[in-house]
Amino acid sequence: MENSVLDNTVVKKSITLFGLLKIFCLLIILYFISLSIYFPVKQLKVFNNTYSDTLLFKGEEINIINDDSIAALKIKESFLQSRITMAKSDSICFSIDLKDSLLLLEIRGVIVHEAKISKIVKSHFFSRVDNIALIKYLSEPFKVDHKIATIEKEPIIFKKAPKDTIEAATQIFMPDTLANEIICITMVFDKNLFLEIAQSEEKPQFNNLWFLIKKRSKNVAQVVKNSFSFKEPYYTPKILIELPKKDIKSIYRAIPYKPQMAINI
Amino acid sequence: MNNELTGPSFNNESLDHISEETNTNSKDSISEKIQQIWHKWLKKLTHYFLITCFVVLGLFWLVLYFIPYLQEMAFLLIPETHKEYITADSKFSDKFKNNIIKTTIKLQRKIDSNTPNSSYLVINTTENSFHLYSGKRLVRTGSCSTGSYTLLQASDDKQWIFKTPRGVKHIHGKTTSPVWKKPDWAFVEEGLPVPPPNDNSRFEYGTLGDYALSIGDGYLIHGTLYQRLLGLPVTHGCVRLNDKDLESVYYTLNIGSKVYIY
Repeated sequence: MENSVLDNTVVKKSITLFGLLKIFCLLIILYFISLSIYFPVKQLKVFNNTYSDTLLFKGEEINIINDDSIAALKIKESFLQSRITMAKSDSICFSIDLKDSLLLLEIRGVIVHEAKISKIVKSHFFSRVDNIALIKYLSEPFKVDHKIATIEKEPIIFKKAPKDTIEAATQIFMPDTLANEIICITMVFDKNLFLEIAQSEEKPQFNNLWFLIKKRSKNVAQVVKNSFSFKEPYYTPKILIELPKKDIKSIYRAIPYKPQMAINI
Repeated sequence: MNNELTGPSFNNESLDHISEETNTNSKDSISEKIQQIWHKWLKKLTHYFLITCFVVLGLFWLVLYFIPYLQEMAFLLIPETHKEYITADSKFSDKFKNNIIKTTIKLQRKIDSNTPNSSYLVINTTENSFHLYSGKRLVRTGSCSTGSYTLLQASDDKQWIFKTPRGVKHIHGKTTSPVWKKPDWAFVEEGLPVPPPNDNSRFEYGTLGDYALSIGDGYLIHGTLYQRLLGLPVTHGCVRLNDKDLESVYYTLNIGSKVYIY
């Protein structure tokens, strides 16, 4: 009798503990969900404060620039200004014109490759920020902080020197022209921008699952990290563009490890 | 049952009947045992396994899809800041707009001025293709062969990487009927002993085609004997063209002309 009472108490206790654990987990998930909503909103304010330049416009100009059509002209001007800055450097860089749906690869200001963008998805962030801040943000080139891709940047083939002519004859290499790979690149820029360039051709997501997990989990890991540190909010505005496979490959292989980019939103 | 076994009426039929019964009994006991195991821990284990799977998949979905989606949706809570604005003074607005347009045109011209007015060549090392321009006009386009990205490792710690350099290059020199002076790697790659610097075996005639254009650092734009490999990355860093394209490039580009390689 006593034993059964004891057992009941143990069972009840474990049920209560399990219930508490469930509530705790639920609270943590809710906390992260609410933070992931709060961070973008907060980031908007941080962005406006960082890039609002009071010297850029004066008097009535500040009011006029709120007009989207005039702001678009000023953004185009910023874009060209960025491209001129990039043209001064020796390295290969690229420009994205979302208005004309073009991606341009440039060497010293000369367009060497032009690719038509077939799909554009951009964060709502850009339609919520102040025009003045956006103009200032786009007036300088962006520099890639880090990038990941599904393809190799330099497809190096290692070859050991043959001992004689017979061994050399067996080493003749022919490149694989039938390789069917899914091409996707993601870049994070120094000015807090996430750019994804994906192929416009059909892309089965599950063939690329590891890349997908790697790409998306980074964002969540940063949200979690910043939630614990209680420092600044974490949100990176995103732009997704789609291009033909061969264009992405040419561009990715051509650009240096830390390329510069200009963008017209 | 035991009586039957030991009794006088014992025969084969009854033996079969007994073995059937024993089988049924053993089957029953196995199913009982399985049921016991199921109730004892297998049921719980399956239950926990399913819960774990559900939680893991849920977290996966939350992390990979729901949070990014939620972050984007958060902006819908904020009104759009961009709007049409009608100024009281439309003259001032028009003047401001015209000024921006003028600056934009000026900047566009400045960018366009970077493109050479004379002839130049653009080479895509990934696609293994080229575009020949004379000013802003496209003169010729076609296939070429560029560096194979092979890293050749010799036994004496020496190594060579066969890739075409990228960036802006200039035509340093032009030659007709060029002779190829084979470098050390050409012998190493073929498994042959490396001869002295000016040995006769180093000089090869006809391999580079009818013309060669030097772009510096020993890299050339030249012809090839292996025309079927054009369009593939198979060279040691030089750019190979077919005979017709090479002739066109040779006569269009001058010394100092720019070659853009990417």
